[in-house]
Amino acid sequence: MSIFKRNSFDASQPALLAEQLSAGYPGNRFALSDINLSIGGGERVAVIGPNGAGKSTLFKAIVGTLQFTHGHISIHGVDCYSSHIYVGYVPQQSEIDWKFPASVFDVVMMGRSRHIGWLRRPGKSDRAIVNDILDDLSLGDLASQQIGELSGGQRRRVFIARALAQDARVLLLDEPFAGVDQTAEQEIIDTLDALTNQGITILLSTHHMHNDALRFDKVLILRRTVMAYGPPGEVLTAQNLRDAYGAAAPVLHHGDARLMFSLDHERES
Amino acid sequence: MDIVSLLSEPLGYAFIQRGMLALILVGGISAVVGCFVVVRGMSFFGDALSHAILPGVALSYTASGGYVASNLFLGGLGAGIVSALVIAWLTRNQELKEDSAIAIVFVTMFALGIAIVSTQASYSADLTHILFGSILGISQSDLLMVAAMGAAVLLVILLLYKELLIVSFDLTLAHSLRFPVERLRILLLLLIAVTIVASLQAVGIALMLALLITPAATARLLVKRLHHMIVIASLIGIVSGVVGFYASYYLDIPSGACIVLTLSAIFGLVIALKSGFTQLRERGGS
Repeated sequence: MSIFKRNSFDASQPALLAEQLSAGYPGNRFALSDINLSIGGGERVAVIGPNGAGKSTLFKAIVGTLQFTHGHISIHGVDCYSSHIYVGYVPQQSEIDWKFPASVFDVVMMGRSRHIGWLRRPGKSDRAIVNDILDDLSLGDLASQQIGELSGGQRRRVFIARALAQDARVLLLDEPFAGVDQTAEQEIIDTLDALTNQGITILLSTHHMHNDALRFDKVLILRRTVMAYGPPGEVLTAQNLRDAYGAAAPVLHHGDARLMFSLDHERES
Repeated sequence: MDIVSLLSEPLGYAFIQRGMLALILVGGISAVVGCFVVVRGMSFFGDALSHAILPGVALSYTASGGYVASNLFLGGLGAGIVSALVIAWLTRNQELKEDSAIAIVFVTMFALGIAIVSTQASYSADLTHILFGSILGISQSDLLMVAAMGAAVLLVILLLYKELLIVSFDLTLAHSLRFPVERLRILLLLLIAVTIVASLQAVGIALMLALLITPAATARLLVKRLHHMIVIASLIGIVSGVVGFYASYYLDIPSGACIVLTLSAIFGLVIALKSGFTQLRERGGS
């Protein structure tokens, strides 16, 4: 509990602020370079860009898996080195060992870990919190299932539930719609709507966007750096998309300013 | 001879009681640590580390004039910790693939150990003891040492269970919760090293891997949650320790081989029952 009290966040500050951020891996030290970005509290941002554009890298830098080479990130005004705990992360399907012996309840309880503290076990209140969250996300009946027994949409929601148990204020979802059917996609979107109502800031990377289905406050086009960032109507122009994806970008005009594109062939496995 | 005297006869001697206690302890503790080895897919590391302790054991052995004594633990622990730390250091970033790093440390240490043992006149007998264990040579102080190491390992796992669970399942969450991820990783490697050294006399280097992997892999087939898996695995480890002990006594086969064969038999039984059950259910469902 103490960590959260000590770092109690300032709602007037941007939920996420990245300044001159560069990050990368050995062999690709500048997978991201000079990222400048400010996201307001409760906003919902779609992060799009071609494969290898650095979407996952950006998320990993924000969540703290990847040490960045330059610049800094702050969450609600608190420097990232002390405030990763406000960041929830829903990983790509392929990053998780779905055969791991953990139940839905166990995975969501992991989010409580920092609240519980070192050398201590989950108490009654932690159990109650986890059970409430599971019920809110209609996962209550699945609590004792092993995570590998769930459908794609349910798996994403378990990790969203874990972020809620963690009290995350900023939620990152890496390709949540990859490999899920229409129904599951709608389930995930409904869950995100509920989070937005709680004022949680959402960043979501995706390869395909249906403007009708997904309402985003802002769109970030990423290709090693910020190519364009702003409201969808301003950012999703044919020119911007061609700049990011190349001349062959499958851009479709739809109405006046609306653009839809689908890049399923580029989906990561 | 009736069953009671069959079971009680070997226990008439203090050194045999010690041997049985040691096998039970070792079987249980290895199984608990082995659960983490199994869920993290670290079997190769476990195998490598058990071989990498050879030079430490060999040095202690040689220093005490070819006698299996308590300083075996010290030498083994030293070599185990050094190997674990070198492997952790080599794999701290992705420049060298983990399995390559482990393999290089493993063969280097093992070769060094062979070189040291070969300086002894009783070379092949010594090596047999170290490779396959000699449970009946275990002294009172050895047994206490095994118990102390086991208690330390279990205490650490009990206290840091939820952190070790997260580090094993999802490193990204561990990072975002600001865990000292690297230290926890090294801690787990050290726990494995201590467990291997504690089990050394009972099963020897060559068969150590089975004690870590088989009970955990068997338990994994039966339950869905890690803490359940740990309980079941340790029960399997303990039962195998007891059964292996009697088999060793009556069949005059090294205790290490007996305990491992018992573990494998339980694993085989569980696999067979499980696939039989699955087939039955599918037939019933269709």
